[in-house]
Amino acid sequence: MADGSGDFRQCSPFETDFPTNERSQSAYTPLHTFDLPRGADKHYQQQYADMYFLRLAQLKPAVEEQAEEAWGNMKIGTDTPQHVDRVLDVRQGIPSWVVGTVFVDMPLKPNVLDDISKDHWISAPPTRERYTTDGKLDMMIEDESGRLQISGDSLDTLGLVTGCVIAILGHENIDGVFNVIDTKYADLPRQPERWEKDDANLALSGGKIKQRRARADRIAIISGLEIAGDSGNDLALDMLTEYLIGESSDPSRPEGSKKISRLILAGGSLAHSSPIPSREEVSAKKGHKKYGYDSAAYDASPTARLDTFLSDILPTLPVTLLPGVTDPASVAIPQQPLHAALFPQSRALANSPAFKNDPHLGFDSVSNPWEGDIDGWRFLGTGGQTVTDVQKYLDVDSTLDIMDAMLRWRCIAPTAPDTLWCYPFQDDDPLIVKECPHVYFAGNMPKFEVRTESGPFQQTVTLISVPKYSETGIIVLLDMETLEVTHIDLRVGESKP
Amino acid sequence: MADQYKTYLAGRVLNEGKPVTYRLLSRELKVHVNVAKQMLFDFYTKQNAKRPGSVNASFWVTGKKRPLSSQHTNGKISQDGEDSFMQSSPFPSSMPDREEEVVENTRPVESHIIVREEELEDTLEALEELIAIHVYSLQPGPLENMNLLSTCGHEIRERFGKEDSLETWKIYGTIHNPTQRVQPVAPAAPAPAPKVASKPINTAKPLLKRTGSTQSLRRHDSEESKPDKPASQSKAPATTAKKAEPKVQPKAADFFRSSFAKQPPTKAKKSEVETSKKPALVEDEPMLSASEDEYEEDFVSEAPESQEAKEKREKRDAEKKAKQEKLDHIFDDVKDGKSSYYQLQHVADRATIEEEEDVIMDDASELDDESSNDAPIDKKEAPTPATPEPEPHPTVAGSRKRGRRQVKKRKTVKDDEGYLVTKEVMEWESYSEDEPQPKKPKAPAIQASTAKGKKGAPQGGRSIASFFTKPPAAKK
Repeated sequence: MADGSGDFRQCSPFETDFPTNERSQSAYTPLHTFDLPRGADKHYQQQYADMYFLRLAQLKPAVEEQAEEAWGNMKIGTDTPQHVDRVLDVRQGIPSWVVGTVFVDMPLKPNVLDDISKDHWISAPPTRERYTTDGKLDMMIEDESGRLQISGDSLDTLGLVTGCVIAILGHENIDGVFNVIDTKYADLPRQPERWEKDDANLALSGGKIKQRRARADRIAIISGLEIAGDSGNDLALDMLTEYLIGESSDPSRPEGSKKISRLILAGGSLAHSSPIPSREEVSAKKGHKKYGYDSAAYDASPTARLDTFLSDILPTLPVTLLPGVTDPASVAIPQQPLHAALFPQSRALANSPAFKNDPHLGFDSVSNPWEGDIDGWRFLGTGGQTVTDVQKYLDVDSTLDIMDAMLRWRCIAPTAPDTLWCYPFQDDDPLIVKECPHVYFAGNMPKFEVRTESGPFQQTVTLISVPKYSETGIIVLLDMETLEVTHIDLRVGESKP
Repeated sequence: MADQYKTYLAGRVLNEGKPVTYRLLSRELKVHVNVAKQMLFDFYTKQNAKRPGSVNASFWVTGKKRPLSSQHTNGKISQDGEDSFMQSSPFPSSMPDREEEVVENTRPVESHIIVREEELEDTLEALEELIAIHVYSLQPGPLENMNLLSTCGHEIRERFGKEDSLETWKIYGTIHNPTQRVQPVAPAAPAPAPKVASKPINTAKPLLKRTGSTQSLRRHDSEESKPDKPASQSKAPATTAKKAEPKVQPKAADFFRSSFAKQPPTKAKKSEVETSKKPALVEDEPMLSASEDEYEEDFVSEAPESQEAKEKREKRDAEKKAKQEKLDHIFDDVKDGKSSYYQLQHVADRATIEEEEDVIMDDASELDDESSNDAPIDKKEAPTPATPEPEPHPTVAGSRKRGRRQVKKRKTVKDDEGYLVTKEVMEWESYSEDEPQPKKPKAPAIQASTAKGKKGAPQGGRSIASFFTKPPAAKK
């Protein structure tokens, strides 16, 4: 041990002199982009049509700009393609381009009208892994004026999904179908400089802009703890605790766990806690009625275990907790933060609502998706539903492709509200990416992948797909100076000899 | 400390046959985790030198894995030599994965594994570089299931969970974070011992006098909080909650005094004592309604009782039994559909409201305790002829008084046949102190008209409690 090898296989006399390890602190500024209005201000009467309208209205200028640049001076034969403002104004035979929202009709896709008509006589069909079939897809482009059927060889390979806003170039044929030659999307939006937000805040509050900041350490991202309350993966969770608080292994070495300055739990912390059964379901399930707490209907042990896990690590490590598809938050995105009532022990280390913007937050239960600045970098993260839902439309295996495409479409949940449940936004759609993040992560993905993408204006985004901890034991570590991504895995040895 | 660990380990592992992890040992002996790791190894080597195989160990190995096996897709190889054929057998279907692996695996991946001593050699062989290794646990024999070790983690949480980890990092060598602190204005103090906490409430019932701060009971084990030691606060933990407490207490008591006014005096007194007995923090605990009664009975019979308390208890038990029978009867009726929907609705409403309050206000704990207890309906509070309509549950949130009351509202709905029907409905609404109480509607007149018009319409503003006292003759 004395030589710093981390080997504690040593008999008495014991080495007793150990350095204290101190964790550094990350600059943390959560943005409350996805927080819904509270209480009575939250309405569900609005029509979803408004969301599509809003999305198209907000993205159209950016898409048009891209298209104009690419096709403005282009010649097809002898003609220059015309820009048509509305999809119904497209004339037959004339080369033109138009901007609209894609709608993909798939036979296997759930249809809300079918649901309503069948609601009364069959049980719901199981949800599908994929909506894709072998046949040709019916694709349309629409705007507020109407719909236009589109076809073209390039469309199938592009990976378009319902809800993304693109520009298409081509001409309408005799059958009234638009033949697509090329497409354009909005591409990555403007990316803030590192520390931009923090500097702006400092300037606003009259503070001096710091010229030099301490070297930032690392961020750990984990998703899919999937605590089920049984002892099945309890040791793995203990292991994670011990690693994070630095009691196991050798935390003092340079790349040890003391260098982690914040932990992000990207959804799926509990295994089977969503959707929360409604009152009707609960009463229908049981023969007899019992009021108040019923241990048969509700098992508190998973949440209690998550709470103790958090309260174990919180004294040494700040945590940002995103809900995921299996967590007891709302099912519609943006999922709102997990309620503090679920964390009777760990919430003592959370910030009170009064200090929501306190940078020293210990425990921050946030929305999914979530946006925020850590050490100056802009983070955008989801619990994974948005990506998984897009994946149902496409035959791509790499979730990073999807994440990349979503940023380029500037919409992190294009399939909402079609196949992904979503709050009916009325005046502003936060799911539209207004500023390009530096790091975009999605939790609960099938495997660990990392890629750096760049945009037309030197934007660089690190895309991270974070696998479930319960299946892979992987902790993703992100160096906050270089944005370099590494991972480590924790594993319990095989039980059988 | 010198040889303490040997005694402890011998006792625990050899005699009791229980596993012990380095963390548990460090908590038991209050030593640095790294010392505990060495102690375990010391004990392990010396015991096995004396008698080979007497102690079995598992190790926490940290190392860099060789790139080939580092992928999670087929990664279970390194720890287990017998799985290695998996690795070498080609996967024709995973070709794309392979390519990615090549890209990703240019650097070896740091890996942490807990292995049993039997597999230690193989594991170490599979590592490219060993970073750290220490004994994770000792147990009397080979582990069938590694997850057994999680019982140690459980034990640590149970027994040492109360320790304030913002303080203990120095002893155990946990990574220290100077910026983390307990929220100063937390309404509820952190409650590190979840399971134990909810029990003393029941056990402490018979004799305890009302004290200003009932909070102190909270962290005691059930033995400590036996009746003969009224509020012997060893370490009154909750300084933050104290300031809220005195305010809450009298109000709640007033409320119960007023709502039980029509009861015989002994009963009223008892319920008062009971309310005061319920520490304000319990709302967070998993409610143990099913086991509560059992536990109470068992425990009380063991505990030394005064004559008075005994009498009281017997009386109460008898009452409870009677009430239970009555209730069963009523609920049979309900099942048969004879009882009106309204009453049921009322119960449900109340339950939801209390749930909500649990979520919203931490200070509302008195109320919550009440709910957790009378929700199963077999409690003595149930049959009280409570004051009818505006049933205020005044609670203190910060400095403002809040509560809920029932108000009568007129609602027009379309019924099955398409007719518009106007109903008087009782609804709960929240109010705060400064709002005036709405005028009481003229209950009798309306009641008469609606009751005639429709069967099952709300019968005025009688509370659920009144329903239990005199079952209406019509039901029979």
